[in-house]
Amino acid sequence: MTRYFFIKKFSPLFFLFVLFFLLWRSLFYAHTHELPSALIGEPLPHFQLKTLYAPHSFLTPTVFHGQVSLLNVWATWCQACSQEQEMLMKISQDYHIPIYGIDYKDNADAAKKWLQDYGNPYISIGSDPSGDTAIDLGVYGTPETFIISPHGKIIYRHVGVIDQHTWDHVLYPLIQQYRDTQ
Amino acid sequence: MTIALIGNMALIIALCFALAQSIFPLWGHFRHNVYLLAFARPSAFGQCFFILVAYFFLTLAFATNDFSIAYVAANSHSSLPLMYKLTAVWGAHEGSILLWIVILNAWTIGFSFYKKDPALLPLVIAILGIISLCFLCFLLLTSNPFLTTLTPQSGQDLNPLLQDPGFVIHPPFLYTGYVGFSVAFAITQAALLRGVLDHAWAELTRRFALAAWCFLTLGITLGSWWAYRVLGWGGFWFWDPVENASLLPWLSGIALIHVLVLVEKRGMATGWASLLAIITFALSLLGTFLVRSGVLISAHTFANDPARGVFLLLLLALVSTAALIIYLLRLPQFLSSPRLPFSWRSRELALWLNSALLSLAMTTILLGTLYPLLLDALHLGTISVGAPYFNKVMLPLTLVLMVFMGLGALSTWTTATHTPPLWPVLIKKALISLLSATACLWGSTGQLAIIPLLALSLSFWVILSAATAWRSQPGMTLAHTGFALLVIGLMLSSTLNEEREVRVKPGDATQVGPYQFIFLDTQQANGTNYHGIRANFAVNKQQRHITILSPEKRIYTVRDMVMTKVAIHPSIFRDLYLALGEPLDAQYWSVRIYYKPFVRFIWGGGLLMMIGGIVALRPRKENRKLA
Amino acid sequence: MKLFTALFFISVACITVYALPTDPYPFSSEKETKRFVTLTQEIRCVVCQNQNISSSNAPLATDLREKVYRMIVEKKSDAEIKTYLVKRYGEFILFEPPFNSLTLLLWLFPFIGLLAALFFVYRFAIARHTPSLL
Repeated sequence: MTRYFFIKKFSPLFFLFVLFFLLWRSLFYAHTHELPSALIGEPLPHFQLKTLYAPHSFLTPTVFHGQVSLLNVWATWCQACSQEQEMLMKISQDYHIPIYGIDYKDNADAAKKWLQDYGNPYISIGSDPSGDTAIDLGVYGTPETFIISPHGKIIYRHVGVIDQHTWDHVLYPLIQQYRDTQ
Repeated sequence: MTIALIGNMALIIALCFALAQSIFPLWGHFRHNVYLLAFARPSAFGQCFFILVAYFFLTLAFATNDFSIAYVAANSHSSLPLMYKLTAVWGAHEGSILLWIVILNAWTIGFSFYKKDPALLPLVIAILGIISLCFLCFLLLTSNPFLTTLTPQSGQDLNPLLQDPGFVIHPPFLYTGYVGFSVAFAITQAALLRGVLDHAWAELTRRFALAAWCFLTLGITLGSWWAYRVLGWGGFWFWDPVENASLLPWLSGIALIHVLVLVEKRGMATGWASLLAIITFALSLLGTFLVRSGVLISAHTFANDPARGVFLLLLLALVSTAALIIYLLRLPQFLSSPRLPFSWRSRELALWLNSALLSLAMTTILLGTLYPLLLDALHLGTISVGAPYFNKVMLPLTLVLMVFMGLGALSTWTTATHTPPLWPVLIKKALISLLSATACLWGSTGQLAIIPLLALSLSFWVILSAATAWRSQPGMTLAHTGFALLVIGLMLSSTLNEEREVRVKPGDATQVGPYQFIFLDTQQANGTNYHGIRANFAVNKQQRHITILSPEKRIYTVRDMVMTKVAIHPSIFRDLYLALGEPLDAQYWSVRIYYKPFVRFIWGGGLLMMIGGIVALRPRKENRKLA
Repeated sequence: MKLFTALFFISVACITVYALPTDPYPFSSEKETKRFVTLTQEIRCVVCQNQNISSSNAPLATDLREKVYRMIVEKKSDAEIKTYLVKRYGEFILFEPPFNSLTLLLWLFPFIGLLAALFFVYRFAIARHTPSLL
């Protein structure tokens, strides 16, 4: 029996192996339960949110021009957000990255108290009681943090709590990369 | 504690029997040793006994609230009604795998009573033993239901969505179907190993495949009916990945059954039939993998664990590769069989086309289900493939299939002694179908949309053509009619249904379709493990009182889950469906009211298909055998 | 009884994830109502286990329904609404896969498959068994 015979005979199995390989990959490499942001590379959508502490002022995308910053979407009813607050304080104080916040579907008084309890790393906080701006940003679960470029474009979106590990390996390198290319 | 110990021991002993069941007969086959072959049946009985012991003790653990076993603690509660305690055994991953193995053993024992082909028996049992062995290893290594917790809790209660009679019957029948295809697979593999694929093999495989298919049809029909009852918005099929996973072996099974008829009657298509037998079981295994590995997002999936996924994928890969290698090695034998001519307008061609179309349908659904997964695995993006895609794609396929269903029923075998003229009958039936469909649609909706018209006339076409074969093949007539009824139900319920979502307070009346729904009052409705509110509605049709419907809103205390209990007034020609929404301010409630004509045809059609399959299981009359 | 109802309401509002949409959405025409029903069944609830926003009571699903409602009232077309959502959530949010180079195989497969099926029937059945018809 020649080699050609074997290849010809068992070639249908090739497709089967491709399928199995892809299924195996999907077990480990697919992000079935994470949704990457569709807005990466896009400028921040326009919004005008009343700030939490000064309701006559507004938070708009213009504040992001000039330096790399973070936009953090949080809420008092979100348990995970309180876990993240310490890390955000560190990012703001030790790494000197400006952080802006959007208070998502929340009550202003509860928010102020929450910030007193857990710390306030934000330069400015916009209130989004209806959740409309969050939908505009493609938010689907709090907390979410966006890295915004100095031109006001969304570089990256992280869903979930930021811990030291994520900061060291994913977020900070991205920020540094962006700073270096300035 | 002791239950866990006995359970584990029983599983391990069953594993030993499974080893014996797999190794000795195969060894005996290759060494032509009769004594080794004789190990098959006793080992099978031994394994079955100990698996049943394990299953019994797990059920006992549920019945006696033994929360030291982690599985029981996660799926039961002392206040759970007994019926659900006994069936919660298969409510989550570990227990359902045990059920899988129990059913596999039941099929094995069932097969072992078949004395017709003694040479085949030990081999088949050995192969079934290998499958059981793999699943037992899977159970013991990754999904042991008898694992204990150190801190006995009071139980987390069964998921409220599962606390419905539908849950009691749907999984067992579904699994019996899935697992049943393993018998057809094993028979085919045994025959391939022996190198003999004759009429006896074909008949045996067809019977077992048909039996498995009947159970699967019942299981899917029950699942759809259950979803309709429980989920609260009148849907009965969502093209959810897990649902698709059950549809794949169903379609492949139909193709298998039809192609085996070709083998039985005329000795053709042996290669295709054996390939289909392998594919059908491989699809069952694929379904098991998809549902339990966590790669698919579905409301029906079990616990996600990559380790389990790897095991199941390896199982699927090994079994299908081994089976296909044996098949490919034996293939030249089939291709060299004598040529058997058939004519264009024969049943042979119809059956060939049918299996090709069904395989196409199956592959389309498979591709659609796996596509998002495959794209994601290659980091090419995240998309969804859902109902809009499947509905768009399956509709034309189904219509084409129905054309050939009718043609096939009207055609005759090439070797038949009496061949009636085809064209007059065909045209007559086609015309009658089209005209009656037009009349029906015009009468009920006053408009003639092309798709409902096509679907309806093709359904009548299928029924009329199947009716000609009533005397010779009643099973086929019933099954085809059942399918046509299913399509009629689907088409009419989607074109004629009416739904309204309203805010009502007691005293308000709403008109949906020809019925009037009057909100009467609300009252408390508490059960052993829930508390809730029941709203009462009086249903009238043209001033005549029909019934009282009482949908409920329940909170299941242990899991803190809210469930909406739908109220349905069923009837052959229409369903009235009421689902309670949210309580709004000042006595107002939001309610969804559905008027669904002909929706029962869907499940009625499914049941009729199953009955047709059962009727087709009868032994054929000797004088109906053709050359 | 009133306290019970109030508590029930609060607990339901807090916990409900798998129930029905809450407020009915008043539209000016039957056509718009139908559009709303169809659209909400085609949009995925991205935080749920394979549900559409019509049948889910997750907070995001409720917000998205509200958004779709407002967009219909603002006389936006179905395509505009879908584009808006896809821009923010990606193609994942629509249950109907797009038609682009990546999904070409998916959409064309039924046609190619039909031709392939007919070819296979010809090759393995007809050609093999009826040499006179070749």
